[in-house]
Amino acid sequence: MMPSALDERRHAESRARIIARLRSAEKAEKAKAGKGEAATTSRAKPVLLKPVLPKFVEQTQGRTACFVARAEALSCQFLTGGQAAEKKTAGKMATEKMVKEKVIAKAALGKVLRDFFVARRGKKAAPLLLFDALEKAFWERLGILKILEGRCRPVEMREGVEGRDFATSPFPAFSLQRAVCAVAETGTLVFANRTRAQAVLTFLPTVHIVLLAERDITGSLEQAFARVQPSSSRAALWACHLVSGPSRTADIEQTLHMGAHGPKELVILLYR
Amino acid sequence: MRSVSSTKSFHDAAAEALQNPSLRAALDKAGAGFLTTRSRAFASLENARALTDAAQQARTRAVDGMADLLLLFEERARAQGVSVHWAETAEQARETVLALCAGKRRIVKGKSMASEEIELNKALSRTSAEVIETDLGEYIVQLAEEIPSHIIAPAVHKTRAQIDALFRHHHGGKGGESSQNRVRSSQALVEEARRVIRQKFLHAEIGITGANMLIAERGAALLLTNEGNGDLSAVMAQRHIVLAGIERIVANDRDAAAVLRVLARSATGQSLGTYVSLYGGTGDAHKDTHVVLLDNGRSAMHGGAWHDMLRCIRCGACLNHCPVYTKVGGHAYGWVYSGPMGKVLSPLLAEAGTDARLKRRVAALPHASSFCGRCVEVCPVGIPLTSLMRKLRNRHFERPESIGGWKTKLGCLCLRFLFAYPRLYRVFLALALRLLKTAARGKGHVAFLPGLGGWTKTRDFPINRRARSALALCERANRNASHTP
Repeated sequence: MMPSALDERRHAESRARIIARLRSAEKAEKAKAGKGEAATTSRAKPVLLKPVLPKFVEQTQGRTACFVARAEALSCQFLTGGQAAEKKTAGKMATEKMVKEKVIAKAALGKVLRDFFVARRGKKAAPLLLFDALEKAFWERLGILKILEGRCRPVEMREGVEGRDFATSPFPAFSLQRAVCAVAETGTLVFANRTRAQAVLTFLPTVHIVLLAERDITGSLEQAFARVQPSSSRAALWACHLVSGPSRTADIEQTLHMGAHGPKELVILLYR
Repeated sequence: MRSVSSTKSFHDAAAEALQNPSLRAALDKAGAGFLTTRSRAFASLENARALTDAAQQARTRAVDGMADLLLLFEERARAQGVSVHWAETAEQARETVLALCAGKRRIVKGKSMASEEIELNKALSRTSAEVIETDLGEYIVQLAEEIPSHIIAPAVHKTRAQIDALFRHHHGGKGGESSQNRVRSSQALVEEARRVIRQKFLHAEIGITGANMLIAERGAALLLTNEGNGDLSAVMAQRHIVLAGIERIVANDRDAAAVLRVLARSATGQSLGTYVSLYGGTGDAHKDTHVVLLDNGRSAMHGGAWHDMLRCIRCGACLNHCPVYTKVGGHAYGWVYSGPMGKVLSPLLAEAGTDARLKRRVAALPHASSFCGRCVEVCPVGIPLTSLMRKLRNRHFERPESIGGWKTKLGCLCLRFLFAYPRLYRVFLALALRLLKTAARGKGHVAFLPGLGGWTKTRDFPINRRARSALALCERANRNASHTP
């Protein structure tokens, strides 16, 4: 192709013309409005945005309950600390108890994760577990990598990893990733990925296991966006992803199916 | 290569679509679902009105201040290492993307209406590159060599049996001879597409996606998908190209959140799309991101009579609620944008282009509406679609050749004459009604109206009580008129 298509000067000229057209339209409109004629467009009145959230979200407990309920409605799974207590009992107390069970003590995280892999392990060899090389120290501190030894094969994701690296190896089945925060309003997990390798963890595996601290559950989308400001994060951000449940599609006859291209399952480890 | 009728008028294409039983079946199946999920999503909110108001304001702010916001976006994005390219026309956008893809062979694409608008796939297929659409609906449409028939659900016009047949044809005979006649479940089809497209992701060199929004203050492109295909396209390939219309701009995170709250709810009834991603950053050295800003007629719409249309967030609610769209499907509209928003947008965008045939084909689209106004009711950003269509109709009729043949012209002249003289009009109407009444005597309907065959082609013209009362009204008015000097 012609290299001129990317020519800086040509693009600058295009930009100047586009902006000039937009500006001349603005001017014409202002002139019209100045003459007393009604402007053709409906101008926005400055109105404050009312909060979209129920009041209880202002408290931590309410936020957690709201997040858990909405995430579950989106087919997210929560790992529980104790026995599989999925019994449906009516009443508010039961809901509170269920939420409580879903918040795991930090010390118990390794054990819960090991139990998960034990329950999942079929006849096949231990599955691959991808994790971010930059976070290795964090996982080691939690003792997770050690406790999972033999249950799965951990793979460090480093910067510069390529898709074709996975083309020959057994397909990455699991990934372990830490969420920056979560949104109670929508049941959404938020990831701030600094490298492509981190983003691979979010999208490529079949089962995406996410670690989330209860204190990181925010109320609204705006609050979540504020947490992933490009300037405020520790390192430069490449992309951030708001994930609400596992990948899905309804493109064939409007029937909903999980696991379109991204993860088929989203497993959340909520800890305090 | 595209099997979409590229020469037919909406009138003919719609008539043909109505005769297509599988299209009718597919559309009927989809129709009700879209409506119930959307209304449920808004009904569960206490303050749905506040949400749509906030979204409308966010979009108004964005469109009004477009010039400044675009420049801010460019500045911020550049500062973060993202290249920004400006394209005035479809051709320039195509050239830019082709230049960015030069030498690369494996391209994956996320769903992007802007890329359909500039017919990017056609241009890329002329090079040596292989382009794969990765959104399941778009993939199906690509295999069928068609264009999307819905801006949100591109393959809404396809039945499961048709998709199954397409997959068997293109993925090789993996189904085995014995099961040739059984249509596979949609789950199995989704699995198969996942397996095939996954290999494409792993080897992709370039990922092309659209953008739902460009956030000016952040200098980032916002992408919303449910399948995760857009993100895999963006992540797996080394080069990520974002193609977006200039009107996708929004001022800041708060405005983006306001639009997000109504976008998925209006489109699919979800409170948020499964994946909302913000791209634009320096973090990874092994990655380069390019944003191509597409004008293609948008700046000409700015500030004038069509300014409001730039607010559109492409949620597809107006399509799902349109009595015309839900019967004829998207392909009858003759271009990538269909339904009420297409009836306004297509003629305006085509004007800026150079395709004379396209211009002629879509110029008559604003007439394909019954003005029932449901599109205006459901639009989450308050675009007055029907009044825009009315303005487009008026403008269309300013040129006498667009009115039609000599018969239509003569009819119009007669009507104009009658409308100018109310008394004459009433006399004429009373006469006509009397004639109809006589013709319908005993049956309550007439089977044939001379010169108005369109009315009676498929049904009898009813002459009921209402017609009789109209006649009485008419005659009374005539009497009154003759009494007063």
